[in-house]
Amino acid sequence: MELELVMTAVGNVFEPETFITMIVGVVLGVLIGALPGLTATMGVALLLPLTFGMAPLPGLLVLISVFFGAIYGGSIPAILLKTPGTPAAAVTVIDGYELTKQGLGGRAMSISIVSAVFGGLFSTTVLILVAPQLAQVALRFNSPEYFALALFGLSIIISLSSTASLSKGIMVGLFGILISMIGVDPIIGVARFTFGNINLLGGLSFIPILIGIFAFAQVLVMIEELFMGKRSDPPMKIKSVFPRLSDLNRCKWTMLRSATFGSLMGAMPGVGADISAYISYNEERRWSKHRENMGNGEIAGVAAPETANSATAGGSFIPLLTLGIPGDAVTAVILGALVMQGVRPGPALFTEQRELLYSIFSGMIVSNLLLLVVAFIGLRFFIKILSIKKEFLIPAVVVLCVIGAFAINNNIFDVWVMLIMGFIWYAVGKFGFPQSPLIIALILGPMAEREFRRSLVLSNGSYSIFWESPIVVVLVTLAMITLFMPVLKPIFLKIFKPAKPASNGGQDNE
Amino acid sequence: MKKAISAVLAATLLLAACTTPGGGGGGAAFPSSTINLTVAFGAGGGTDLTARAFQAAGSQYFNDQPITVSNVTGGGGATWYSQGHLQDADGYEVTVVTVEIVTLPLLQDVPFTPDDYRYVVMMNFPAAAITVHADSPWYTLQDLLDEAAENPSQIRVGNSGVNAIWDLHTHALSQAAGVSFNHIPYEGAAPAVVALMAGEIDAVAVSAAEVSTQVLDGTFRLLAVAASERLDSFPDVPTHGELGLDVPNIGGWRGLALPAGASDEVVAEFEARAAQVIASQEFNDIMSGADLTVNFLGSADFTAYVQEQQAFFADMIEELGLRE
Amino acid sequence: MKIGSILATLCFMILGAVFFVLAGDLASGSGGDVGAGFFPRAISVLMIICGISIIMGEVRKNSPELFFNSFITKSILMGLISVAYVFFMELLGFVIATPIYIFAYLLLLDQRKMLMNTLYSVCVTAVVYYVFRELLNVRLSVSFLGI
Repeated sequence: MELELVMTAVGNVFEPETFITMIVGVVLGVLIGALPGLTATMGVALLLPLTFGMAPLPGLLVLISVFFGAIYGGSIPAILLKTPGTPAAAVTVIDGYELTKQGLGGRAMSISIVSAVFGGLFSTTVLILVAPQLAQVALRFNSPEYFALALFGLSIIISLSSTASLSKGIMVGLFGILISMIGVDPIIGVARFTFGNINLLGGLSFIPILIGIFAFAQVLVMIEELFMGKRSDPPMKIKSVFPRLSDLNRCKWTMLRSATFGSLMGAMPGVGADISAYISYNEERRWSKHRENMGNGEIAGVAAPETANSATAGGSFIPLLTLGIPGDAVTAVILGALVMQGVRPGPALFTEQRELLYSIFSGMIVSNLLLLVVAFIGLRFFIKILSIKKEFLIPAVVVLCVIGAFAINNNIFDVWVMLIMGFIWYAVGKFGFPQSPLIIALILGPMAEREFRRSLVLSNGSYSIFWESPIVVVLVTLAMITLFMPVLKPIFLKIFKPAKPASNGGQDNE
Repeated sequence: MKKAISAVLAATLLLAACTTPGGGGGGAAFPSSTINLTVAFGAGGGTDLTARAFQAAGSQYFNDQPITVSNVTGGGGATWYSQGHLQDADGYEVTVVTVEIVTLPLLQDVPFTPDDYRYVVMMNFPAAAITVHADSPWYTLQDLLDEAAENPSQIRVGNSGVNAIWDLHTHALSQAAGVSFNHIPYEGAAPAVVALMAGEIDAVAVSAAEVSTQVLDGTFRLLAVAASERLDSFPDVPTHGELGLDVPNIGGWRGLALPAGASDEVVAEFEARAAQVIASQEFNDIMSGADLTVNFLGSADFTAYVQEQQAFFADMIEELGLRE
Repeated sequence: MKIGSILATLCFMILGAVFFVLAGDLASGSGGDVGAGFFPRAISVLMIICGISIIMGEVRKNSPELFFNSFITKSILMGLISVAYVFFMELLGFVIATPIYIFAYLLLLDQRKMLMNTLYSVCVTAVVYYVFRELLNVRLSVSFLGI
């Protein structure tokens, strides 16, 4: 009986209207994700009205397809142009662009497709199998735990910075936290550092800053290189569109680990694909066999964030479908779509509307498979972008930066933010100040502050709310270890490594 | 070289001419062009959904002109409300207005006041409500209030933001009942609802619609609503008034407004058509599917209501010293 | 590089100090909250400490002093042209400013094939206009020409 239901549900997905709209959704999603300035949220919000005219299932599935497509799409310019198309791809830039510089961009792109699809499928499977249970676990995360998570995330700044530029990385991170406080105080509601400017009242928009420090600054670098006479990067050889088996093998544990982290983090309301990409990348630097190479064009450094962010996309459906809670802005829109179609997420969905639920599950799987096909077909085309003469590419990219920054809130102020930040980072980047810590800080800084202060309001000032929770203790300890590692490591080595090599080759206590 | 430059300029002007929007072409009867609704809050939220319901049902009553919805968020609504009244007042640039148009100027220094807009129709009035977890020991609002009286500032009531409408409801309730709560701010109604689910807080002060899923499946218990009569969707839940509390109807109402410069004719024309949309089956179906009530007020009543709200909130905010 | 690094660090530190001072006026917390100024002050203090550490590190290093060369100046100039583009976009509207900007840029970057340049400028503008305005409902720069 149940099996019949499942079969019908799966069959619904392959109805022509549904299937074709899903293909359109995936393609649109990839394009939207690939344009810096257009995010998954915008893509889904823009398609929302179109779904009213459709039946519930195709309408929902087109939004889901756009979501998965966009999360993948952000990696395309990240790898090829050092510019993340969506915030979730900001980490992919690190190793992805390095690989492009080495002429290996094609392999990076291949792996990123496989990673994204794997992440999406893995998280959907998790969703199907253990969604309700996982949702209950996710509910154990309250303000103190989110603060600890944010702190842990911020400590990543330390490990992402090489020893040489450690203090500069920290400075950038601190700068990011500081400017993220411009706007309205989350707990008291007073305006902070706004100088009476209405545009600052909402705080500095995140996307324009992202576009500025990655895309616009990169444009300035490209112009400089053009004038210096440096022509182009080593040509990219693509023998076959498909990833090499050796690459897949190299990344298999990375993908599994990152998919797990990503799914778990997606289940937590408030943690988005961008945060999970950073955390997974960081964890890979901790556990992976290839960690030394990360940052220098390591293929696993592309696999980790791409798997994680797609897994988080899938994982964010866990709280959405089981509890009716949107995990992030995109799922908030999808929740709106569900609600307008009269679908009530929550236990009711799991008991009374099983056919629809199974159709949604099947749809999620099918859209990931469609993404696989679409992305591989598009791969050669994407890489062609690189062969456009830089002189032509540059002004077009600038126009896109400007419009992209403007489009967020139809506000020209954001464009100025984008330009100013771009100039600053062009200059400052030359002195060794990195970009990634700024992004991490802008995302996690506000979270850290408000969760910390809210925890204290909840406990009426008692700090015990923090160490009463085992999750908090664990995360804070990990954060502290990461934070002090650069200081502790040399001390450890001195203590544990004997001065003269011993007969058993010494011990490595890391 | 010169030829090339003139070629570019010519092509540019040609392109410009082709793309000039027909916008409100002088003389053509209203509506003869796209109607643009702008929502000051994020996509997927209650205000946004109300606007989209209007969009879905509305075209046929507006000479089949397309209706668009865009979101310009920030500052709790302040970012758009400062710009909305500066748009063309020809009836094509519509602001989806909410109670924040009244409360924000009273709470902070913002470059707009409710007088910068003309109020055309109200669409929806989600009344505030007090909700607790089903596992809690409070079965009536009085239970909660008694506990609050015994433990001042201990009962944790979550809201969607400091001095946002649901928080103001908590203040109004605490004033009327003579108790004090511990107000816990979240970044919107959804995180507050999650917090209640997780047991981090004791109650939430958001609208009934925002907790309806959980109330219906038994996770939450709705104690009271701040409306003049019981809600159709929850007929067993008493109003504050019935419980003897002097809490007026507080809610995050939503409506449509035009810049203050709009002419009486445009407002009247818009109102007539919008009223048809709001009365339509399609609009009502979408709204009820989304758990949103339809509460219509025409331009005159709406304008009067806004003024009432201004007076009411001005008093409350002054008494409580909420202005920063 | 060295002087540049030190200057940049000083800028960051000054920013931190400014925020520190401004934070003094902010509301203090109630009911356990540490107040609106707590975090900004803590962060700015850390920034200043961090800055001192960077400067000390820079002073000790031997890094090449020369920073400004003509290429960098040129790219900054090109960047400023982009800023001018945004100004003109606000004045003249997207549809007019963009092709002119792209065309100008191509000229400055030594592309002399006029026909190609013209075609490209207009096409890019048209595509971006169409995608953003029609498909995505983004209102592109209201100007006195209403475009």
